[in-house]
Amino acid sequence: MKSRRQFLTASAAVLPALALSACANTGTSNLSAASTESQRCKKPGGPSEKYFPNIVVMTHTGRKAWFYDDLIKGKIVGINFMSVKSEEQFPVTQNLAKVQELVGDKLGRGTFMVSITTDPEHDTPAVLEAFAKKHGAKDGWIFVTGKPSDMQALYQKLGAHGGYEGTGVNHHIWRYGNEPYARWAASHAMAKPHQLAERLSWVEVKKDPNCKKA
Amino acid sequence: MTNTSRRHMLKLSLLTAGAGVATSQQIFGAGALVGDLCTSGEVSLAEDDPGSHDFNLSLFADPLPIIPVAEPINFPLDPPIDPARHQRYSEFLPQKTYIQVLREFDHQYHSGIPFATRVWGFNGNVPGQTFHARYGEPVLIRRYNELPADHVGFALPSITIHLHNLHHASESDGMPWDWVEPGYFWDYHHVNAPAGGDPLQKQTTQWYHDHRMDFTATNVYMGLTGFYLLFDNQDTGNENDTSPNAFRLPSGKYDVPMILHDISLGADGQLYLSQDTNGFLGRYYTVNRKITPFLEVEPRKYRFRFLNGGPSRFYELGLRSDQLFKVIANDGNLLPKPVTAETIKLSVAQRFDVIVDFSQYQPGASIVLENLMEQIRGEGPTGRQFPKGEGDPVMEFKVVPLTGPDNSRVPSKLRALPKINLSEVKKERLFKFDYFGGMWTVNGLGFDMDRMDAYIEQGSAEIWTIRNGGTRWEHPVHIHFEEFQILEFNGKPLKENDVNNSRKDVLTLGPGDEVKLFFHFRDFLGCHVMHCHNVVHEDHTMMIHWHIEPPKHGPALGEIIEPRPVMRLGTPPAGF
Repeated sequence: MKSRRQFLTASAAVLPALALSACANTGTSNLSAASTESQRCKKPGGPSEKYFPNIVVMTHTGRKAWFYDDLIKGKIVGINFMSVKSEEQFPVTQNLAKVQELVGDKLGRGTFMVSITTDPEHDTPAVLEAFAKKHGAKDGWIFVTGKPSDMQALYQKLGAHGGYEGTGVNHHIWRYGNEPYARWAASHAMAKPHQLAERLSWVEVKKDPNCKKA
Repeated sequence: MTNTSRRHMLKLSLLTAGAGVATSQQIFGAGALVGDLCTSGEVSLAEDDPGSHDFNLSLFADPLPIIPVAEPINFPLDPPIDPARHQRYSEFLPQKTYIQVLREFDHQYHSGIPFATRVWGFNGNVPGQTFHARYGEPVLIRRYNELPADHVGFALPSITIHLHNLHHASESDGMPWDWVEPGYFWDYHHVNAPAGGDPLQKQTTQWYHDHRMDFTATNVYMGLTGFYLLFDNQDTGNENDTSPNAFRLPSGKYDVPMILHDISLGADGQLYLSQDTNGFLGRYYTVNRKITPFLEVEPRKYRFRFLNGGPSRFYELGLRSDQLFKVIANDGNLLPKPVTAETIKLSVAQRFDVIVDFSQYQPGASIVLENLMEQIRGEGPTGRQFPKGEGDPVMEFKVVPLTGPDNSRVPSKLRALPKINLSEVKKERLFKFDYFGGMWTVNGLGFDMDRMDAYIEQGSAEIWTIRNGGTRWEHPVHIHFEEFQILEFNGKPLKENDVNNSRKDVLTLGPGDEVKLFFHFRDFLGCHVMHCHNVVHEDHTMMIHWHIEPPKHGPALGEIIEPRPVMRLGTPPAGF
């Protein structure tokens, strides 16, 4: 392993545009390759594009939307799977309605919730609109339906466990992340509401308290 | 042979394997394999992942990085340590103090890659520096998080560094919920005292890694791992030691810690990680964060400390020669006596210390270390092993002339196992690792910070039965705090010469396996966790936590009597 100084020299050769830290601490740590302008000033925009299918879906308000471009890109988002018929057996929408309350004013302003039906033949936009209304969904919580093959594709990509069918209602996964910063994780859709709401804040970009510019 | 041709061979072997029926051989432990690990069709190799770029790299092009040893600081911490944040601090006053600063920097994974790769590490090192600790010398490590708060990528710049599986208090263990955001630091107090004061509980090869809830796989993959080695009055770290107690195992440059990670890189040379909750297999093998490196070795004995750093791959390591391993430690615990083995199997987080004697080789000889374990999915191996010489190359040993006498020894007796006294058992528990509804579960539930899964009396012993409820996947189950011993594997005791007849902290469960463990909960109070160490499974809720309570305190009183520190604001001192 190279010494730190040798390392900096080597990395400078790779990144000739090295500039001093935008968030300079005291001492020699100013020279940290970790805090270069080139890395500090990355322009957010679409790093998760490859992961999310950009297919045309219908929202519960009856509008067409591109799944990635319109519902994911540029947003902090929690994504789950549901169906109107399975709600009684698996009350995930009821749980997420409580999450919505905890997200509060952020909902629809940078933070969004996306609920994808696994039963698109039944869950038409009109059915989903009534369902959303029943659960008090506010702007920023979008229910999604569409062609069965497209919903299946979303389910396979984001929800189903590597394509496996489990036992019972296979809707437990709740994907969450911050798209511009490419931070993605998953938890249980039926976790306690405050735990899910907190997770949406985990992926927010925190201000470094020692950093005036960050 | 290049990596590319190796991959072709792997694909070929899959094709010729026909319908992909498991060979029903045991993979780990003493149990017969139940279920069909080897799924036919839908073969997805890491090489086929569109996010993974093939750089056509040559094998054994770069030397194995020798990880630097951490140096203690010689000035007082500012702000000073707060003793009230640590259990039993005054009994174990730190004799050495270290500072580690976590930063993002560029790293060259292979000289043939035309890009530097952005990684996370410690004081500019990936893997982080190796700690050389000694029993009887408590240490304090202050870790500053200077990672970029606005990092773009799969990892989360919010960290908690777990020292796996040192015996210490919860507040210094790097719990999944004890995270440190950029701009803050955390003090870790390691007492370096054996569990229960029992010298037979001393440990050797430990390691540290990130344990952030939901983001352990991502943060470990990004670089946050390192070794923490413990020495004592027998395993002294000096092969020339004249003390009659000294084991005189190979030491100094002949004692080489090696951490294995498999990685994939995008076309831009940056680390690529999929979102598959089954687990992740990388395109390239790395050792000490260098792709398929070589190590020059002298014709003499070496101590290699192999650690599987994950995220999800299993290994069966062997040498493409007649050379055997002498296994001396399992999961960082010296065995009662060395066990000779042709291959060693490592699930994620497992460690084996082995002695390899190259004295039969002439300078110029080349010995390849290969992985014989076939694995095509993240959730576990297929159940087949490649024949010797047909495995995936991991690294190469190149023999060079001897530079001095080899005074090292391999004692016929190492460290006896502590006696198991079943009368100490206060409670038996069952934990079933399984899958439900797209997530990984323990006893049917995902991890819940608000739900305490067990209350345990401090000082007591318990028997835990760990069962794999699945039919297609393996789980390397890791239990924090104290080492366990295996009482039964699928209803039978282990054979005396089984390498798993040892103290351990990772238990590998094949499909349907059930294992009974015995262990104590001594010396400290507080919360600890058990989880699958396929870190992708762990991040997807395959974890529980329990609370060690004072005797007669009673469970679930809701009274937290151990320190519960939070991260502290601060920047590293000049020079770091």
